[in-house]
Amino acid sequence: MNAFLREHAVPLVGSTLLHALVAVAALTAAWFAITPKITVPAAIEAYIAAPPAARPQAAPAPPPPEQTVPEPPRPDPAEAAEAEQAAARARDEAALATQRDEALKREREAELSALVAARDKAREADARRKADAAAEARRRSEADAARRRAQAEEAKRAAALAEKRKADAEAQQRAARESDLARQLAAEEQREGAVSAGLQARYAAAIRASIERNWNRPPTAKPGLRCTVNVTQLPGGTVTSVKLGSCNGDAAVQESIRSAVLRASPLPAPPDPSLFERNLQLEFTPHD
Amino acid sequence: MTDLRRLLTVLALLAAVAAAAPARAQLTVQITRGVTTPIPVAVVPFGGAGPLPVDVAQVVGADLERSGRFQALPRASMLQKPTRAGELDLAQWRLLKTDFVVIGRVVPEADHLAVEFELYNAVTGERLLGYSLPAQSAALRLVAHRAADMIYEKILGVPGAFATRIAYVSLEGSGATRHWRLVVADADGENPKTIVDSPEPIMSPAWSPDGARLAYVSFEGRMSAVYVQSLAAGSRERISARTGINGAPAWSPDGKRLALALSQPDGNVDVFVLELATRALLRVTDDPAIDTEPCWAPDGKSLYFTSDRAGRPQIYRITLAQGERPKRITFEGAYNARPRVSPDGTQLAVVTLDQGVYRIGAVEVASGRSRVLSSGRLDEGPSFAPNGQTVIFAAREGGRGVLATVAIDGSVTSRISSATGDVREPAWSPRDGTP
Repeated sequence: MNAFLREHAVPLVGSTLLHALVAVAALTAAWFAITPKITVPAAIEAYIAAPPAARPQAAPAPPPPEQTVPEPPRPDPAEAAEAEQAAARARDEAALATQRDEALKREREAELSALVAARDKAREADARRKADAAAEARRRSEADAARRRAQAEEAKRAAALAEKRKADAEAQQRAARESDLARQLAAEEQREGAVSAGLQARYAAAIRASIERNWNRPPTAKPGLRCTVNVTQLPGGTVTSVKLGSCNGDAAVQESIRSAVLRASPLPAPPDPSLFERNLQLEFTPHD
Repeated sequence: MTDLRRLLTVLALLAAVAAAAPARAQLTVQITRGVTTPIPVAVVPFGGAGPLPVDVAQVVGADLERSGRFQALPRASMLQKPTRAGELDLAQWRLLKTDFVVIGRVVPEADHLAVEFELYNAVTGERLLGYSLPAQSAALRLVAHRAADMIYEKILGVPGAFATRIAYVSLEGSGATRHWRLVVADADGENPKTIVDSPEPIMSPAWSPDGARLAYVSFEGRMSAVYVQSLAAGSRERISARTGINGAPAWSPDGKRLALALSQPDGNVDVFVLELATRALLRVTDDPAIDTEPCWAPDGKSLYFTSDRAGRPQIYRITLAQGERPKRITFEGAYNARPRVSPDGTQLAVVTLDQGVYRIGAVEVASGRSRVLSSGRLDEGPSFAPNGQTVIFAAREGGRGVLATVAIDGSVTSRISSATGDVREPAWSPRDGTP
């Protein structure tokens, strides 16, 4: 035996090593296959509420300038013919007429100058109004430009903020993922602790009692019956699916089992949240 | 060599690690018990064809309830009364804690009626049954019983026994007007029909396996005799009229023989089997004690009977092969008598003395274990329904016998109230007994 080993040591060890390598590979694969998959809750989409864009509000239009131009008074009609007839009668009156004319002339001149003054004043006012309007338009366009500039800046700031928030959220998610992992590990530990403390047995007993209470056992459900049922529940115990596996019971028995599980919904909560099982297997094996 | 050993050690360690890897087992829960409380069911009043002589839904609900396995929702508690699937909102019925809902309608066809009904499981939402049964107006009750049978079987996996009949003896009048009637009625006690009316006692009605004939004991002429009477024709034949006692007829499962309790000239009563075709008589028991009330095992190879050979009445079984000694079946209680075997042959319904009163008990043949089913003081005459789920018997109420039924698990007892007179010895017809 020893001689054989010595003689074939190299090929033996070689082949054993090969076997071992294959075994290690297989076991590793198996280990990964049975390692519970850790599922991370779907990443929460960062939701950035953009600040509502400031909507430019139209400035109230200035009231239109009053366009009333005073109408010049009409000059009185000439009274020349009447004056000639009057000259023939009375030369005395000539001086008086001349005075009157003079007065009239003065009056007219005064009127005229008032008119000119009024016209000049109106022109001046008009020019001033025009200048004011131009200034206003200028001012307004400048304000608009400033507003637009401000808006652009605001948008840029918001984009930057969004960028930063997104980055923050991603960082947070990363952190959450990491802490989820930690939590999951902690839960796993807690779970194992709870299992070993007999809490899992208590959980199973609570589920059992709740279903047995709700199983109206038909006469054909006799000892020897064996039905496996796969149950899916939500956290909170609401049963979402009842699937019968192998079952040697008749249709009435199967119906009664489905009804029992649904009637028992919601199923009792585990004594420790870490023990919650989304998928349960029930085995209906009635005694007498 | 050491290399090899080290390698093996590493492999063993790897295997151990792999085995210890956290493979979380699914939680498995064993369910080993259930309840047999009455199942809540709602039989909604049927719609359709105007006023009918029979309230079909009422008959169906009463049937289910009388079986002891169901509890019918009172109509006053129904929030809605759908008659068609489209009007049915199962969530509403779930709120009322109703597991099953029956809806239906009676519709006129060319020259008859049709009873259409549907059965829904309110918990799973499934439609379990949908049938249209043709019915003559006069047979509406029977069709309702058939519908109840189908519903019962769908839910419990066991055929119903509602469309069957019962026979019983009713003692009426007093003093000089006293008379005995042999009555055949529907299983719910309705449609009673007197088939024999006599001023002398009538006893021990027994259905033939085909449900077409009844054997019974009559004391007309002050002498006991066993008669067989055809239900359809009303004709009857005297089968046994020996000196002394001619009693307790029981049909063999093949309908060709009658087991009887007959007395010897010295007054001793033993069990015999009479071949109907040849009138050949075979002695089954031979004992100085009283052996009576024979009852056939379903395989027709053995008989159960009552005997006081051990001092008090107990149940024994004897095979018809020669030279067998009877085997005692009942050991619990001081008195067990009048056995009737369940259709599957596993249980006997008996009259048993329980805490000083006579009650109906069920005895497991294989183990001899017994349990008390009824709760009266002087219950007598048990008889199995052909589905083996219910036992009918006569209870005392107000000084007279009344018909009652009890579920085979003893959970629920119901009264059949329509029978009049002092009622005794009910016998449930076989399934083949087409009314």
